[in-house]
Amino acid sequence: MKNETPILTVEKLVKRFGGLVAVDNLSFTVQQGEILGVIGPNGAGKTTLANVVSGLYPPSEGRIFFRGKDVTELDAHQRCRLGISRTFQLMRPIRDFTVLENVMVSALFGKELDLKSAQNRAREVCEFVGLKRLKIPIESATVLELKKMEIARALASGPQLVFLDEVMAGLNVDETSEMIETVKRINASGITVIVIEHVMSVIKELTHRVIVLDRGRIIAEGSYEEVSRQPEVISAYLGEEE
Amino acid sequence: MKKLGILLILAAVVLGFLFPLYTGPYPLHVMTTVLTYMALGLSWDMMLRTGQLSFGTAGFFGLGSYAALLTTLYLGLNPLASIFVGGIFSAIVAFGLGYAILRLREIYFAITTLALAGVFTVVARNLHDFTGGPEGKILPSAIFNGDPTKVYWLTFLIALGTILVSEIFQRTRIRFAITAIRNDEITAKSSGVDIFKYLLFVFVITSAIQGVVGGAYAQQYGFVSPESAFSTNFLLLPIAMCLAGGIYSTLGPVIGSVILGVLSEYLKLRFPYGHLIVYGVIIVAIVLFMPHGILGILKKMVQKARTGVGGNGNEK
Repeated sequence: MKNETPILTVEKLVKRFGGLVAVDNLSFTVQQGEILGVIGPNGAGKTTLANVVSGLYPPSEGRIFFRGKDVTELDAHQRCRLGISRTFQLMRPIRDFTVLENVMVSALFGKELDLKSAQNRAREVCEFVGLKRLKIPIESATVLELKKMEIARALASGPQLVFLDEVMAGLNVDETSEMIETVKRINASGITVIVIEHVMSVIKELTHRVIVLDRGRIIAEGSYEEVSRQPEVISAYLGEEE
Repeated sequence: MKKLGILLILAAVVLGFLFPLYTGPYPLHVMTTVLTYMALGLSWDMMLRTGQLSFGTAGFFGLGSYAALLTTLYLGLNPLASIFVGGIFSAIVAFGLGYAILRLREIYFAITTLALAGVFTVVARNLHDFTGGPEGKILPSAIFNGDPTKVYWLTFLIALGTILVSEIFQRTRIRFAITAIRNDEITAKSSGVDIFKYLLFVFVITSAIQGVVGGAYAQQYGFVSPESAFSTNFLLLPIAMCLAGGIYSTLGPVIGSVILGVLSEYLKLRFPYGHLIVYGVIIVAIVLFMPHGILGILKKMVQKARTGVGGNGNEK
C-alpha cells in the first residue's frame, strides 16, 4: 500500500484571482483507496482546490499528477475521462433533462458509452445512490434527490477519484446518515474519495485522514483525532472573524 | 401512439411530395419559399440548441449562393452539383471561423456572426471582376430551365434532409451533449463533454445546410447579387418562424415556417398596402403571448387531454 504511486499528487499549487490568493503553495498526496477530508473555515480555498484539481480553473503555479501522470495541462472533460470527477456544492443540474438524463450525460461522455449502455449505467448508478424517481423533471426533485443525482453523475463517468463538495449541507440527520453510508459504499467499491465538508461529525465518521486549510494553506494534517486537538485548527475555527 | 405518429409523418411526406400535382404555380412558389425558410430556420435552431445565438444564417446562405452560382458560371459545373459546392464552401468557412470565434459566448458570439453578412456583402460588392460587384451575376438559364415543379422538389428534398439532420440531433448522443452545454457548460465539461468540439461540429453542419439552401436559391433564379444573397430576410424571417413555432425542436420550426410563410402570403393579398405591419404585429403577439411557440400550446393541449401530469416527451 505504502509504496504505490499516490492516486493524486498536488505540488506547490497556487491559484490567484487578481490579488487574492485562494490556494497558496499547497502540496499533498492522496493514496489509492482512502477517504480524505478537507476542512477549513469559509474562504479557506476548499472549493477552489476542487475546481483546480478537476480542471475548471488552470492553476497559477504548481503541478497536478493523477496516478503518476501530469494532468496540469488537461481540460476538465479530459480529466473526467481519465477518472477524476466531482460534485458541486451549489448544485448544477441540467434543467431541461430528467434525473436519469442528467446522469446519462456523464456515462455517455465521461465513460464514453453508447446510448443504450449509458442508460443502463445511469440506472445502476442511480440505484446505487438510492435514487428512485428517475424520469421526473428537475423542478420536481427534492434537495436530497438533487444531491444524490450530483453524486450519481460523478459516479457514472466511472471515476477513480471523486471530490464530494459539501454533499451533506442542508440535509437532516436521517438524510445525512444515509449519505454517509453511501459515501462509505462508494469508497468500498474501490473509489478514492475526497470529502469537502463543514459538518465535523461527518468528517469524524468518514475520513481516514484530514487536511485543514486556512487562507489557502495547509495548517494541519493527520487523523481527525490528531487534527482536532491542534491549537491552530481550533483558533482557525473559533477565532474566525468574518 | 407511436405508430400513429409514424403514419402521420409518412402522410405528410407523401402529401408534400405530391403537392405540385394538385396545385398551380402560385401555391407552388409559396411553398418553395416556405421550405427554403424552413431549412434555414431549422439550421438556426440546431445551433441555438447548443445555447449559441447565431446571426450568421444570412452570411452562410449568401456564401453558398455565390459559391454555387460562380462555380456554374466559371467552371461550368452542373447546377445540382454546384449546390453541394455551396454547402461545402460554407462549411469550410464555418470551420475556420468557428475555430476562431467559438470561444466567444452570448452577445459576443452573436455580434461576430452578425458581422459576417456585412463583411461578405462588402467583399462581394468590391470584387467586381469575379462576383460582378453590386449588380451581381446572372446565369444563362435557371436550374431545370426554371421548371417550378422540379424546383419545388429540389427544395422539398433539401428541407426533408434538414429535418432528418435535426432529428438525428434530437435522437443521438448529440442531444445530450448540446443540451448539457446549453444548460450549464461547467456541468457539461465536468461530465466529460468536449464543449468546443461539439460547438464547432454543430456550427459547421448548420452552416453547410445554410450554404446548400443558399446554393439552391441562387440556382433557382440563376442570379446572385450582394443585396439578394445576404439579405437580412434570410436571417430574421427564419428566426421569427422558429420563435413562433417553438424553439429547441424539429416540429416547432417546421410548424412556424408553414404558418408564418402562408400567413405572409395571405396578408399580402388581403392588405396589399401595409401587410408587413400586420405581419410584424402578429409575430410580436405570438412571441409575447406564446413564449414556447405554437408547439408549446399544442403540447399543453395534448397533455391536458391526456389528463394529469403527463411526460415531457421523453419516451424510451
